[in-house]
Amino acid sequence: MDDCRFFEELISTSLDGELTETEERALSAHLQSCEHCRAYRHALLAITEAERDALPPPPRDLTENIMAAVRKAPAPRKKALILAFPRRAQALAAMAALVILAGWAGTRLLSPKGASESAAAGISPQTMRIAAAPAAAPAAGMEPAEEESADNRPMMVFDAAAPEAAMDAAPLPFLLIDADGSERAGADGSALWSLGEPTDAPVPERKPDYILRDTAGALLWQLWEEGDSVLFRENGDGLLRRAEAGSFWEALGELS
Amino acid sequence: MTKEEEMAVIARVLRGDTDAFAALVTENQQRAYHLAWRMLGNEADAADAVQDAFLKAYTSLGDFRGDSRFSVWLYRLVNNVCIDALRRKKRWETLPLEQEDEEGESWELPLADTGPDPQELLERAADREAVRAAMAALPADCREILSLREIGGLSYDEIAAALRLEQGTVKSRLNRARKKLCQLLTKSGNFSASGPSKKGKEV
Repeated sequence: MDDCRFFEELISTSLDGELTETEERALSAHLQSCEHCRAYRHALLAITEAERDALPPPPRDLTENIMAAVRKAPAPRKKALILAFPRRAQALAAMAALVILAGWAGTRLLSPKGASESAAAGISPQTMRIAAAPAAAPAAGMEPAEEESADNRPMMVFDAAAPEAAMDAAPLPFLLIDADGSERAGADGSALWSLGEPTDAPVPERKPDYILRDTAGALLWQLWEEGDSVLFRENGDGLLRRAEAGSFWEALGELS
Repeated sequence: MTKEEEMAVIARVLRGDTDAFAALVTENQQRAYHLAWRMLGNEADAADAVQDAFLKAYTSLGDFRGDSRFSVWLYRLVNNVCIDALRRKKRWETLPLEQEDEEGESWELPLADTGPDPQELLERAADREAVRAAMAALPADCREILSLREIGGLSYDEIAAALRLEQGTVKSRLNRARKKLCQLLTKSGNFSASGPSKKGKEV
């Protein structure tokens, strides 16, 4: 009977098609000589069939009800989008966000107003600490450093002297969000770094017509449409730039 | 739906196309519902649980990384929702043997002018009812693993990941579940166990 106990498990596994070849051979040899195990296998097959038979059909309005609930639910968080990109692109996108943050912090923290703004945004200077590599690190070799400790984490190692060069190397997936909150995604917004001309026009007082975020949710640009041009303000240096509308939208590429 | 199609739909949903989610619902709802029904033992609770699980899947779709099939991820959510529901009802260990006897739904004979003879239909209906009762009487961990395997169609690897078990435990627990089910049915005496051989399915 000890023997049969062993084979009972093989019978169960065989129903699931998960036997190895060796096990399969052993089982079929055993079944030929064992009445008990043949009957057991037979019973299990019958039960499995009856089980499937017993399943009730789902209610007709199931899809409808689920979708009605889904439409009322908050939109999914977008965390996974960035995970879907290759590690190197992730590193570069994260780095780009960090460079912006660092630049933004550098200019803003000089004034007390900026400091209070950054405090209000929940960003402490510590979280922006960057460890600069002694020499130019090749972009391809850059990896985000592992978190070391809560208050001393070198988030990224890069060549602080030439961040733009490194950023040019990777696409920057983004989300373009209009004033109504509806979103469209684009594959690469990195062209905006070098698009258009800086302008000393005042920053429009009205709410931006669009904002552009990276896929991790960091705010990159605010955009205002003005006649034939687009004013866009980089969140990093706060400078306002102006570009001709056509070339601006062309630079953003296809949106979906 | 292929894995690529699935990921494309998910990407659309994440970009704000909520209605695209319906494709994932229609593709997976039947099995999800059967899983829930098996766990909870009644249709209204099963429908609620499936709705909850899909809602959870939707709101946390950003966490789905595509390491497994969407269905596997969903079944895990269904399973968790069901376990929560059972805990709430404090009937985690055993369910009553007699469930929905009053409804008698599965006793209804289909109106068939062709097909198997009435005697066989009656037997099959009785078997279904007996299996249903025995399933409900199984310990929850047995019911859970049998459902993931037989309704969800999950592989041992997938079950191991979903329930955080060793492969060996998956194998032995499935065996234990089936053996128990078999014992319950033999004891009840309501199961014909004539089996599929009649229909020539015996290999």
